[in-house]
Amino acid sequence: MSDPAASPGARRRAVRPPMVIAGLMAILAGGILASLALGAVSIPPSSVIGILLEHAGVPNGIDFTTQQDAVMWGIRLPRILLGGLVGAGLGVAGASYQAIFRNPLADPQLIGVSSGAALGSALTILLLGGAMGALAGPLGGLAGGLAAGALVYTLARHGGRTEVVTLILAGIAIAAVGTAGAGFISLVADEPRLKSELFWVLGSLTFSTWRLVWFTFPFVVAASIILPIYGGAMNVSLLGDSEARSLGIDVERFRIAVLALATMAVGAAVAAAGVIGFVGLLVPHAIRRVAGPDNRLVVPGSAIGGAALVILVDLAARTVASPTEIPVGLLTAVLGGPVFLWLVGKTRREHGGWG
Amino acid sequence: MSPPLLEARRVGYRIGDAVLVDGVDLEVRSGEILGIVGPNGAGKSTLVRMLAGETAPSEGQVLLDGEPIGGYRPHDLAVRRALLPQSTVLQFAFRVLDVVMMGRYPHREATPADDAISVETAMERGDIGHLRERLYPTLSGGEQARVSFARVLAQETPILLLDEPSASLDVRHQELVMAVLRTLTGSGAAVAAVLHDLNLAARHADRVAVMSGGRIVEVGLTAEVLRSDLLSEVYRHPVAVVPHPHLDCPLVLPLRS
Repeated sequence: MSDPAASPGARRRAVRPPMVIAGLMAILAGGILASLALGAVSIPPSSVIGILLEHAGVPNGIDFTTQQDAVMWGIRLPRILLGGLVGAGLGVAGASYQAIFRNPLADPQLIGVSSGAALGSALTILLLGGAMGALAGPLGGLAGGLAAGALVYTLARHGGRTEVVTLILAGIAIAAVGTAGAGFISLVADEPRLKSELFWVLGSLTFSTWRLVWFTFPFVVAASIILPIYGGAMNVSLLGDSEARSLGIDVERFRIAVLALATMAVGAAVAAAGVIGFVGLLVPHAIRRVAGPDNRLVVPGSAIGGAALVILVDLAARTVASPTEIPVGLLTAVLGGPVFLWLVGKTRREHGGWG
Repeated sequence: MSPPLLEARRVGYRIGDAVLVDGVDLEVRSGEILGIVGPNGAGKSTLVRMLAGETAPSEGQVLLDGEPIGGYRPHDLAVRRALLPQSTVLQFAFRVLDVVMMGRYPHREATPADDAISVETAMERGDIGHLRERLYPTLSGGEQARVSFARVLAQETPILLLDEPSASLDVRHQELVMAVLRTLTGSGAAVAAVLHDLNLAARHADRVAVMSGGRIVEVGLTAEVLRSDLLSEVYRHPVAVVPHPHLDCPLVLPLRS
């Protein structure tokens, strides 16, 4: 797909959907295997397979040490799975927000939902962590994210359209309040994850545990399975409220369902790994570049692609400056910031910008 | 006379103190093109949106096949009536073919072959077959309008409500759109279209409703309604109406004030 404004006759040769999904799955599988093998303790690919088979109950003669087993099964695998879940949640939510706000710039972090979720999650862990246990994080994230999403939605939608300036401004305000609140909590809390202010601003998978994986899993997987079902309706809704209603979509109900599901995924992702930015912007956009804007493909593709991106970026985050670990959100921002700027410029050329 | 498919009864719409539509009675009938004309701000678009069930009236009611339109489920409405709004902005680079295909959204039981036939027919009728692979945001205003028209045709509903279907079209495509609507009414469709061009209404509408200040000032057969005195008063500008030299219809000629 070339820049439509530069060449008015632009045509797109879309890559076929099964190829796109297969390609994304291949990247995801490669990312998982590389992440299992690489790190402070290096584990050869054969031992990776040996350890996996061993835990699957398949006896095998492949050599590995107990240290390799402990590192891979106890530390790396939960971290990879959690990274994958977080990326899938952010990716699928970004694609869905872009559809319901009818704007390619909507991203969980930019519109303030991530920060709302961070504040909700931190507050709930702090105040109700004792009573609710490990569910406090995801549920608090969900509540905070939903509150932020509802606020942004109410503020930025006017006459059936989303005002981009209002959307971004509301996002800035909510992010400021959310980050400040989470920062304050980091001062008064005892739990290491809560204490890390950086965690709430740039995100981290350092605190990954199997427990966190299991508590994140249902929210993200539910959103990643249900949201793609709305792909066709998302396409139609991009035409406008009037057009969508005329084509038989109950627009308000549709939008609230998608907003709630996407925000549920963001809430769980943020509760588990803090605020990792730009995943929801980068991944859907990359898929659209390759395969076109059909949300029946972009939405599920963004779940797989988001998982792959966060796993790969986290691999870089813990290996490139080893033994220092770079916050994962710092790397996604380095990738995402320029893409965002480019998108802003492109939209400005094509639609005359935003007054 | 065929029974009305769509009927507005004492329909009104107000926002605060502003009355946009006031006490409108109107029938949209199978087999005819109803032209809705009137000056800017007369309430034409609001009326069409209420006829489509898109906006709920503040007074009165709209009946579809005798039942209040508010009682239909969105999907049941979508297979009965289609609405073409004034213009459609799309920020994502969908192909023309994809956009027309969206018109098939309500037809969940249709086979891919059915969909393909409808979409091809609709694209041919909108004269956009040669644009099928083009990206919608790269099209001109007139081309986008024809794509939206084709999308509405692909919906294959017995009732078509169109808000200025011809506004950004050249002469050939204006006539083409009206000819397509005539073909559809020939097979029983009911069409109501807001038309800015009075001569388009004069040439193609079976009946015309003249709106002004939220009310329908007069509704009836085209040749009886498009009169010099009525149009001059409603548009607050002198308008002459003479017999068309080549066609069997009136010719509306605005004069200098």
